[in-house]
Amino acid sequence: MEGAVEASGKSIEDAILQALARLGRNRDEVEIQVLQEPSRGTRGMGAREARVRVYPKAGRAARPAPEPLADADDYADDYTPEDARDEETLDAEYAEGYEADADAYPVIEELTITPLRELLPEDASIEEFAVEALRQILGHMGVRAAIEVNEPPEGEEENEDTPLILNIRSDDQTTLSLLIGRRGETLASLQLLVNLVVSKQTGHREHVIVDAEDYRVRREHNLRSMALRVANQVRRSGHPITLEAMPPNERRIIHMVLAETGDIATESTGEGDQRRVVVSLKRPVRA
Amino acid sequence: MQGLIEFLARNLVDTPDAVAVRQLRDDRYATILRLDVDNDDLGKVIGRQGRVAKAMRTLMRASATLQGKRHIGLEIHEDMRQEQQPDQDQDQEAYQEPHDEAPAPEQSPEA
Repeated sequence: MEGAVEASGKSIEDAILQALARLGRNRDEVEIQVLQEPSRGTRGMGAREARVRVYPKAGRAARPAPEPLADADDYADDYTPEDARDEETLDAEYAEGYEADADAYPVIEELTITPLRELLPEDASIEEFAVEALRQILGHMGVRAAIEVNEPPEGEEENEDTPLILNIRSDDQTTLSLLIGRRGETLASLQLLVNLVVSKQTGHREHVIVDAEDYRVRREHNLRSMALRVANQVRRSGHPITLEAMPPNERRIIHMVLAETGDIATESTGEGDQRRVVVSLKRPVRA
Repeated sequence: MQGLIEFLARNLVDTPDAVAVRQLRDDRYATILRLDVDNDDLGKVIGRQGRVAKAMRTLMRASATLQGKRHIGLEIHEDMRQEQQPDQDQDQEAYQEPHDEAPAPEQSPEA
């Protein structure tokens, strides 16, 4: 099946979410096939991950776009084909055996516990501090990966406010899923700690973004498209819709996207990690 | 995993030399670590509402899973060399998070 992606996770739900993130699609746009039910085993011993195959529904493009807000779909489409191809290649390599690509990203070496300001030269840049902090953290975690410094998005001039983006590269799906974590939790922890270490060691409050194989970028495309789709549902039905619980940065994306519509209101309810965005009409629909 | 916590702690505190990390348990199922830091640095490795400690545990968990382990634990203690006078309020005051707005003032402005 063209554009199919396989993904694994602790539960079937986890695996599906991983696959959707990689495809840049929403759940109603794909067919899902469960390849393997998860089993706990004695964890680490005989435990099996859930494994699913997810492919875009055929003929989806023919579905009429509800309103002129269809560009979010285009967004997702822009993203998908190349992605899917990449993932297919990765999955094929993965299927051939873990050993085959074990050397592609070598174990991170020269690990230290020295504070970075004693380790790095005096004139080291913030970027060097951030990369070294992340490199040490990943190395100590026993992760095989490389770190790439991402250029700012095209068309945007580099200036003081441009955040530094560190993208963790790995061709091993298990490693990537672990580094991203449930709802991006592990990635958020990496980002928090890199930022704290850099601030402490340089005395500068630089905002460093930590990503893994562009997960955050893809997730943002996904959320934008989902926000606009939900807004259309709310317009049609007139009823508010409550989205799933999301971390703050993801809720922010929803708020910002829908603030531009003019006729849709958004509000966050709930506490802590159960906070959800409610999407509703700003004023009652006239008949 | 010991190295992970040692690296992070020593890079977050004012007194890296007071940082000590010991393995309370390390086998194929679990790694449990004990982190000791200087009294004044306790807030820096715990963080507001335990944010930093939670992030360190999250990374430990990911690393453990990679090694096929099921459990992790991270105990945080203040440096044993110091006077044993736990004072929770002091811990909170000592901690200033670089990335957040200035903490709410302790005293009300009209005071």
